[in-house]
Amino acid sequence: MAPLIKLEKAKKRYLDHAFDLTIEKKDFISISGQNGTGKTTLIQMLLGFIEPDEGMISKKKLKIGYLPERINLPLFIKVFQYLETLARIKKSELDQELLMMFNLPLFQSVHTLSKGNQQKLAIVSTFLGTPDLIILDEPLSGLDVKTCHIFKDYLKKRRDEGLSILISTHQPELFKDLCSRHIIL
Amino acid sequence: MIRLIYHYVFYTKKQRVFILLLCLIILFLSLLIYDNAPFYEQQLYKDLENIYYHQSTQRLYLWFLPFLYEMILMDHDQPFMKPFDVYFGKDYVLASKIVFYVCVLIWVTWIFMISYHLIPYILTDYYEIYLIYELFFINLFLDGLLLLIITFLLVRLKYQAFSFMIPIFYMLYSFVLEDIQHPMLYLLFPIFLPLESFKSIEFFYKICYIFTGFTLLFIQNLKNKH
Repeated sequence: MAPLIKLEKAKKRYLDHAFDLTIEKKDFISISGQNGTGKTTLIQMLLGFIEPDEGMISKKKLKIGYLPERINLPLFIKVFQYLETLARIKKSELDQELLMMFNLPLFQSVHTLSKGNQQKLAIVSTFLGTPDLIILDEPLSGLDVKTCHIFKDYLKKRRDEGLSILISTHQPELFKDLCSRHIIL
Repeated sequence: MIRLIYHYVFYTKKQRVFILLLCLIILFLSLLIYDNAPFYEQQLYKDLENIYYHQSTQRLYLWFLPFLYEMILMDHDQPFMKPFDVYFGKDYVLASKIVFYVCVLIWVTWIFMISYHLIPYILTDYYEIYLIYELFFINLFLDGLLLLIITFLLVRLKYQAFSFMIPIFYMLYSFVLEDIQHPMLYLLFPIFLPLESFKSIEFFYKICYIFTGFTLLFIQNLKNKH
């Protein structure tokens, strides 16, 4: 089966190394490394936001659920209204299980949420719909330990359902048992 | 999708700024046209008063509205779009953004059109509606679309502050076009100018120009994909 995304010696001028990466269906890949080693650059290349200066990228037509490092949510809307609108656009239903697990205050306005709750909301919205691949850039930032474990269990469930997941994190040990591959930059 | 863009772009504080701006322009317009003269005097100079009102208000709108349009349009490149770009595809997001901003431009132009007619109708005795002046608003809306295309092509989040160069350029260009009434200048950048000489082709040319602009936007979008 053809890979979802394939990077071959993809390189940006400001980085001293090239990336070789193949993402297949049902893959669970974690990326970690020190600051400035190119984790976000790699993600941006995979998503098509930046082009490599050298090397090439081949990509299938995919629906990608992307959680950016800095969350961007509409602030003056109720959580439930936001999720409902998003679900309608993505032609899917809300994942009640994830909502229950995260215990989000559904009838509160987004701007009144704490950073952790905003992160949870961003995660829920990333998994909405029928994505072929999920790319998560630092999804654990702002989450407490208990929520991190809940989130890990959810990721395990989605991986078992056949979803491909790529995660960039500073806590790779948390996902050690889930990963099909672990990349250290 | 459009509803979601609305929630991102027109959040409460921004809504308040727009409402305040609208109130200011309405107040300014009221002060400009308020006439304390008795009814018979206003009737006596009816034509003159009407010409004065239309010319001065149109000039005011021509200076003010491009800046207001730009204020709305400058936010088009927002990071919140990125997750949607990769889920739905860039073309779908771009098309939704265009539809959203075109609707907003229609809405803003409509509000200004209503105040253009309603305020003098209430405050004066001389005001008469001339349908010929509706063309001015259609032209203004089409100019808004031109600004939309230029903004979408040139303004990115990093250079958002420079977006006000666009309405300044628009104003300067309209001055040049007014002084040197040469059709070639209009063909290069067809902004509103009450020139009688080529009015018949004006709309047709402008609409073709705008559609070319939209095509360019999608080509640029296609180039960014790989």
